[in-house]
Amino acid sequence: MDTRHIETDSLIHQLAGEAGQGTRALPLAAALPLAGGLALALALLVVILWIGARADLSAHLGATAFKAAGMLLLAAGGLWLAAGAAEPGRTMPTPLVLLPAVLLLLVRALTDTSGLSVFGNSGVSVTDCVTAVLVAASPGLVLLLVVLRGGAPEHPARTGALAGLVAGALGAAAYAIACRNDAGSFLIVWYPLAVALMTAAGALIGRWALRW
Amino acid sequence: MDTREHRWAEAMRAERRGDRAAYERLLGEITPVLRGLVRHRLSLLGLNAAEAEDLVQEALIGLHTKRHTWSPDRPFLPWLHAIARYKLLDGARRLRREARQRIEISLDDLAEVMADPDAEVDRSPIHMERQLATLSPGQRDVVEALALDGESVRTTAQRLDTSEGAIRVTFHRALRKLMAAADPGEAPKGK
Repeated sequence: MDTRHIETDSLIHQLAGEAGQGTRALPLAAALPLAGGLALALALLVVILWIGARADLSAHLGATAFKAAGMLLLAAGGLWLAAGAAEPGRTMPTPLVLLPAVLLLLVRALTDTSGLSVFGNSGVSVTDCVTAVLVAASPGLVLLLVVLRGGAPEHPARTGALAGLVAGALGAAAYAIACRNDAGSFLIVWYPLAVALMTAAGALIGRWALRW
Repeated sequence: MDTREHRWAEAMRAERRGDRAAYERLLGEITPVLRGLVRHRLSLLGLNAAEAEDLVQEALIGLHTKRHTWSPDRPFLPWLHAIARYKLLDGARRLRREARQRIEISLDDLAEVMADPDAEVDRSPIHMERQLATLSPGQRDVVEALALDGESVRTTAQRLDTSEGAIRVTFHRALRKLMAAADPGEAPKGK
């Protein structure tokens, strides 16, 4: 038998010596939703400390609820997909789990008769909104990626993209309490744009951060 | 193969209870399967035997460090197959990249030799840096920790979130590669 095979045998012997040590306190399927909750809390913290809830929040609960609910649905679907992508041999759920969020945003955009502008209330609304979502979402992305590193994703970039999608949607849900742009068209264009940017960032980072 | 699925899943459960013998037997049974996969799937890449065995060892280490991602309520063979596929593809990509790097580095060296044929073999830190650059990022981390910073195997394993066995194998492999790079007379393994 050649020396490389002997080397492999001694490796096996060493690895076997660590039997029983590899267990984790929390399975990934439980850790991921937990990380999602924490990511939302972090995003809310950023929004409240940095911008503050809108002063007229109680007068616009309906519009705010649409924004938050649409983004939370998107985050939930993304978490489901991410859990499937994070561990080998799991059956991937269909991407249709994102459909409820899309439908809700569509319903909101089509039934909105307020006549408010797609560009929001002022010239800087779009950049303010997108920037705020990205900032609020970033701590959550880091957290989700750290948790996903505990898995063994077969497609690091794709899994990272899902982490970005979840973090972006949670950041947007948190930002909803500060956002004064109530048009359905604003919600269906600029919120998803911010989420898409986070998704792309997640894919880029995941490409190397989630390799194992 | 239903019996193999059952036997191996049972051995994985035994591993969780700390049964070293059952786990060692399991890894021993998986290894020839991995060798077969490497030979079958990657022969097109023109790997030599040493590189093929590198990939087998990396797949074993990957299986070991990620064994917590298998859950006893899911079938074992699909999980094993996914781990092996990822590790083999990843390793094949790395070998291609390294082959490219080796060629670029030897061109650099050639230019240096032509500029100053009488120069002694350079042992300066800059040269050392360049030799370390021939290693993969993972190997470099380990060599820097053990050889340059004097860290222990145990602390390095903990810091890099892997096993001590994996660190040792990575270190030995890196040393072999550095020796081959430092002494062109002894033909380095590989293309």
